Amino acid sequence: MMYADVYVDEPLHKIADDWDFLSEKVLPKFLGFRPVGDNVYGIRQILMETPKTLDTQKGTGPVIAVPHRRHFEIGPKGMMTIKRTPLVAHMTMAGTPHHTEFVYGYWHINDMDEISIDLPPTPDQPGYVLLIQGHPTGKESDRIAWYCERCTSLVHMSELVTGSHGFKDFWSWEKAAVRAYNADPKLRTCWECGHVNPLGYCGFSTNDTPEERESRLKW
Amino acid sequence: MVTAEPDLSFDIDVRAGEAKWFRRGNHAIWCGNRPVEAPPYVLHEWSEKGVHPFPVEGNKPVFHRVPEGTPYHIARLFGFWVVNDVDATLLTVKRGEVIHHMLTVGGRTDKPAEASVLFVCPKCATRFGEAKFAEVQFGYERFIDFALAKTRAFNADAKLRTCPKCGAVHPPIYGFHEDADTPAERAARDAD
Repeated sequence: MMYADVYVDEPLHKIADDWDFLSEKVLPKFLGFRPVGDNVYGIRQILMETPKTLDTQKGTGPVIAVPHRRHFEIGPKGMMTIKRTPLVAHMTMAGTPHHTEFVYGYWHINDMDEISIDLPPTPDQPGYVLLIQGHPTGKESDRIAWYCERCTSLVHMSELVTGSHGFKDFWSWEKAAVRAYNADPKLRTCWECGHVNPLGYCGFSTNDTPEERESRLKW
Repeated sequence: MVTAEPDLSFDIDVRAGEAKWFRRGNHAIWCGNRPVEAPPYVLHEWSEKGVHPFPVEGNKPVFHRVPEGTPYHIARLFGFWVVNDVDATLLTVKRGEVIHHMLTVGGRTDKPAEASVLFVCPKCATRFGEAKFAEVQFGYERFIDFALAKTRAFNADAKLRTCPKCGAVHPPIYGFHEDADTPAERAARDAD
């Protein structure tokens, strides 16, 4: 190595404790979302065991490979299923509503681009779902929204200006928005076609009410 | 005709390792492969204390962040050093006989906008020869072309390769794209 003569003679963990975000000690910090520098990261481990019950595989946390879990986006042609292939980075561009069934019961709309990539498990290593999203600044925001499941009209939306407010209240805002939406059937009723849409649910399944848990199993 | 077609989501196949830079939205992304039997790419970062290597060992994937403003160099991928105006990340994943890499630069609106190429003395770790490129918004490949021009000028002139602090002469280096190497650049890449 060309620079071997000028290497710093210190172990890596002393230089930068979190130099590898996938190390066992660092990974738990990224279970929700964590802003670090110019990006916001989310990392979940993919577990290899078979889930004992259907609802143990729902929600944010270690992800058990679920063949039928689908990812959706809404674009100019309407709602689309996004195929997720291991080791293929998917970039969800800013402004694109996206939803992963059983994981979060709303459509996330980000003013920043998101890169997601699945690293499948190997016989001797766990797998990971890795999410990298740009860090908002100024008036750039995160939104959670609900679109009519029948006609795709926007029925309700809540916004947090994460660019100026930061992410410290992200999960409490998310929970409050979900609860407000669920509490008022008018918010869930499509202004266009009159359809009453199902309840939303949060990214953390531990927040679920019994009714939200039921909804999580549906969409 | 002016259209308002939105920028749509898209995929980049890390396994394909196309070795090209894509610039879309808030990030520039490069993916490349390396056979496991070849000497690995090794990320290096510069600090006031010296040079920190970040070797990847074993089968475990590694995901590392290079903070904005930190000079870094990936041995055998590019012979110069880079400073970005926004964070970079390097994902390294071994699968079978191939090591896949995904390098991203970005995360803030309108960045990366500027990037610098520089050199580091292998005898005393002094940084020198820094040159800024301010048109990264038009594509990261333009910066790579700029860096290759600086690399070739550096290799062609021993004065440019002489450390201003200790006087050591830096050996020749190499650009980013291996397929563009001259024989001398290839030799420098192989020697690193």
